[in-house]
Amino acid sequence: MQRVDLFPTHEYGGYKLRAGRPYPFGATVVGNAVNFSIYSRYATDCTLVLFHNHDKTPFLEIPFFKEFRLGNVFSMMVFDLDYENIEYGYRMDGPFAPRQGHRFDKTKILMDPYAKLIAGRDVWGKEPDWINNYQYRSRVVFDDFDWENDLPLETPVNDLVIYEMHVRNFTCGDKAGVKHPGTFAGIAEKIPYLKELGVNCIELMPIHEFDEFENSRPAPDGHTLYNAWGYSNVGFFAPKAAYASTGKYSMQVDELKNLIKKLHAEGIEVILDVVFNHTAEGNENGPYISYRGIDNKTYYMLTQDGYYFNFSGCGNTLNCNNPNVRDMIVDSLRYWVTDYHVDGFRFDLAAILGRDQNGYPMANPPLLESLAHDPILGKTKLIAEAWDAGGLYQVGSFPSWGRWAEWNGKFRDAVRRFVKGDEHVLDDVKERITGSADLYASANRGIKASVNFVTAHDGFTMMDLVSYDGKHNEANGEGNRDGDDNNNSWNCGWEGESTDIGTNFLRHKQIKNFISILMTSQGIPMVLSGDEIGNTQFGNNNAYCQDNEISWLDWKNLEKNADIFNYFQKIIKFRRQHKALRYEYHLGHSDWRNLGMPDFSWHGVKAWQPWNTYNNLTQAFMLNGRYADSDGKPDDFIYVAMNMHWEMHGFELPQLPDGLKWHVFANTAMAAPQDIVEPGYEILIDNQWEVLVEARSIMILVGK
Amino acid sequence: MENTFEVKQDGTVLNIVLNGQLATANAPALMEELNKYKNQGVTKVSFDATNLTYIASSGIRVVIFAKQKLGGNPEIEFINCNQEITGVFEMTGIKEYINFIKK
Repeated sequence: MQRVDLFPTHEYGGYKLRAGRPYPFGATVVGNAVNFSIYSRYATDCTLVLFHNHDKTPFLEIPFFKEFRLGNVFSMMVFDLDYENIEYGYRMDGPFAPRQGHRFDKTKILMDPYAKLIAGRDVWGKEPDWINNYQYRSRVVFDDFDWENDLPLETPVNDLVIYEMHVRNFTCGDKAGVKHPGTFAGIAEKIPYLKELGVNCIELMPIHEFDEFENSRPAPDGHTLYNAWGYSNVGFFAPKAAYASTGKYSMQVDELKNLIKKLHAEGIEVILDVVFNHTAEGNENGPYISYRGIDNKTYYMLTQDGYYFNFSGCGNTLNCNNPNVRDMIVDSLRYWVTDYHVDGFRFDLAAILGRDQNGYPMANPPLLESLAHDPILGKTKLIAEAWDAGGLYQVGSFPSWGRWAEWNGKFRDAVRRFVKGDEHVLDDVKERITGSADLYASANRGIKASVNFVTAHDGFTMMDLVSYDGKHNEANGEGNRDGDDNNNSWNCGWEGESTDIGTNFLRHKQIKNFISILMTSQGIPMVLSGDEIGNTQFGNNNAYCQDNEISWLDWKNLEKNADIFNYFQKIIKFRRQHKALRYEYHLGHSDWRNLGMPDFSWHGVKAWQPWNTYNNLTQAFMLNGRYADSDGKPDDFIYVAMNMHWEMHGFELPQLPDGLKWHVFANTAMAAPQDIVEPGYEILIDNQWEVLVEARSIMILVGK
Repeated sequence: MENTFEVKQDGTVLNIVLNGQLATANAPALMEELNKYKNQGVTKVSFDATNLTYIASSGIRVVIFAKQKLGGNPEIEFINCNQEITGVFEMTGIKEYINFIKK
């Protein structure tokens, strides 16, 4: 039976129309019509502009009839559109009064903020036609996909091993061995590699549509610098077309969904890095893409004089706690979960999401509370980068309602300093290894709130962390002034690449020390893509603009640094096999179940005496596996001896209950393949009373 | 080239000749045509793609419909499919169940 509200009532320019449905916003296929709906609080008139694909001039502009506006929403159904072959935009009329916050300009054609497909940057690096006055072009998607039985995986958050990656950097490099480098399809080809490594979650750096040509410019050596990382959204609902090998056919939606479905089939979750703190429209001098022309005063945080607040460091700040912008953010996140089956989100500069419309931090930000309690996002991972460029630093204090996890920048800083031999950081390191109870023990947050990492896209790769004392960002064209100066790095005696065997051995050992601490610490470990093969960015700690060999993973390193890959693979497997390493809530550091030993204990070079010795650079810890039983079967005891001192030291071992013996799982001082064994095949040690731990080395023992 | 299709039944096999593009302009009509053969014991759907130049999302949906909704899990065959279209099938995840034939 036909619906009675799907018949045209009006006609314009040869197309049949009727008043649309205000909800949902965006363009939605309804029967043989497309429902266009857009919100603007202050616009006086709105016109739908229709193009044939790629055309510079529209084939039709349809004004919204007066009766097509309800409240502040313009909505209209247009019948019999060949929706796969059209692009659409809007002209908005209203006051141009910047001091009052309004910047309407009906000469501009504006992208739909709810566009689920955006054309205009379909092939990466293809110079756009700058003369075209409509650059980022909304398109219509018919949202169906054959998911079969797929759903978000809902892996317990404490079981995750996250792998942070960039779509292009992952497979554009030499020897990547994929047919479709730099694309979603390329990642799909690498799923067997991810499985072999053992990670069970990938975190994709921004994949919302952005413009790689934003602020594009020549580098000092002549190559082109791009907005390669994409932390500058054009739209919040559309995947980046140029990240799909099928982007030129406008099939990026299908390609990304197919990737997620394939990853899920292999037990790998997908977290999206989302950037809701600002848009690509920049400040007062930036272009009209969408939001500025549709409803500037609603979408942006403005000063009393109508200028843009810049808490993002990128020219503008999205007005996240305006109720309508808040709705858009929630709609976007729900869309990615329902239509793409995304498992979680990492929110870039998330502290901004907790600022009020005047920029002041709120105690209970409504947006964050909404997300924490949203029914559709109820099992979705929510991870905050809990700081912003305006100086708000909320690591440990991000409003969470027991739902939000955080990138734990304090873990990164403390572990880096400890491993390089800083004698003032031991107490801090001990907090981080045990799940940062000082930050997360309250408000029902627990260990699962701490995303631990040593390296991330911002900053040095792990190989560069042990190869450079200072950043080398000259290729970015800013005189090496950009990027963080506080890296806590150590070059192991030589700045940059080295052919010295001893230097390189030490560097590999330091990398293994880092990953050993990361994988045996309580919290959710995150690995930067490429660290497992010793990837270098040649000392560049801010490679946001480098779409070339500086950023692309060089897969030749998989062979060259095979020992690093082997170590990563085995220690990730070790973590996933031992529940004692993956607690959800903080441990008591006591024997509260009367099992003979505490759940967790610190030790020094003498067992049970965790006194600070040797410049505060020797420390060990033991996990009592009997506290980590699953299905009635206790886990093993795990003992980790860390000697970051520059001399070898003996560590007296705590004695195990009768029948159990210490076995060696890993010793970073040993050359491969003696540095680590297959989990479950640990080697019984002769001396059950003491182990000698070489300088700047870590030993991991298993009591079983 | 005109965006047309032609469907002929040969026993339990459906032979479909595609011309030009398979997109919104013709895909819904082809799906409606296929719908007539739902649960009719079709064992194979053979698409002659010799003159097919482009397939859009809506065209992909037709292939999925043929595989999953006709009933009986019929074999799907594409004859003389060009490389670009084959690539699209691969990257959108449906290549696994298509037999590609060169004639």
